Amino acid sequence: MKITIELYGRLKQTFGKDTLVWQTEADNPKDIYLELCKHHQSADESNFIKPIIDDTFCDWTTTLDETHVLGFLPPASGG
Amino acid sequence: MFTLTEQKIDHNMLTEKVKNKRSGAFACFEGWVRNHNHGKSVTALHYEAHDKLAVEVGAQIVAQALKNFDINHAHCCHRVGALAVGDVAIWVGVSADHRGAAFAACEYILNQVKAEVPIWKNEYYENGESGWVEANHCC
Repeated sequence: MKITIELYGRLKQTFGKDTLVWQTEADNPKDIYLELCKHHQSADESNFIKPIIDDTFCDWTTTLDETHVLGFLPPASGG
Repeated sequence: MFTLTEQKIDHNMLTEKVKNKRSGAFACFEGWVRNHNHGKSVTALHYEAHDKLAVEVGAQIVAQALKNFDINHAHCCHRVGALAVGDVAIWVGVSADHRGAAFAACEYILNQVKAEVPIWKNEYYENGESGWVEANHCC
């Protein structure tokens, strides 16, 4: 499937774009995130990153389909 | 209540939101943009937020403070967009009957917002470089 992925904060720099359309056989945020890491030769930071689906926090194992918009939030650094 | 704003933070207007006749104490924290970080000269900041989740998470933190502490009102406002050195980036205000609870709740809200609210800081340096700032929980 093709899924739209939104990236925030420093993850935009890590993965090169604010938003991308990703072709994948994976169906959950964790596997898609790991695919992105592998593609960009980036370290797995899933212990610190929070996934969201359609602007709502979700589990790493939530099943996705093409209608979803997946997002990854790095640790907060406001204030 | 928790709000985001692209405008300069107006502390007089925000103070009015927590002012009430029951309270004898008002504690306030302002976070300002400083001109240095880790030995580099900072010229400006840009804050980015996931607006919907930032407001949701921020509101939950303020609501939790109202449950956890003996306070009357609380408000937190975080600036987003481009900020200059000296600008107020975050404002927290708490009113309470007495000062102890007001100070404690103010610090709780600040710490939780810094740790949990999806807002990210990009610093711009005098040498022309920029960089996303990692979470900073220094006091």
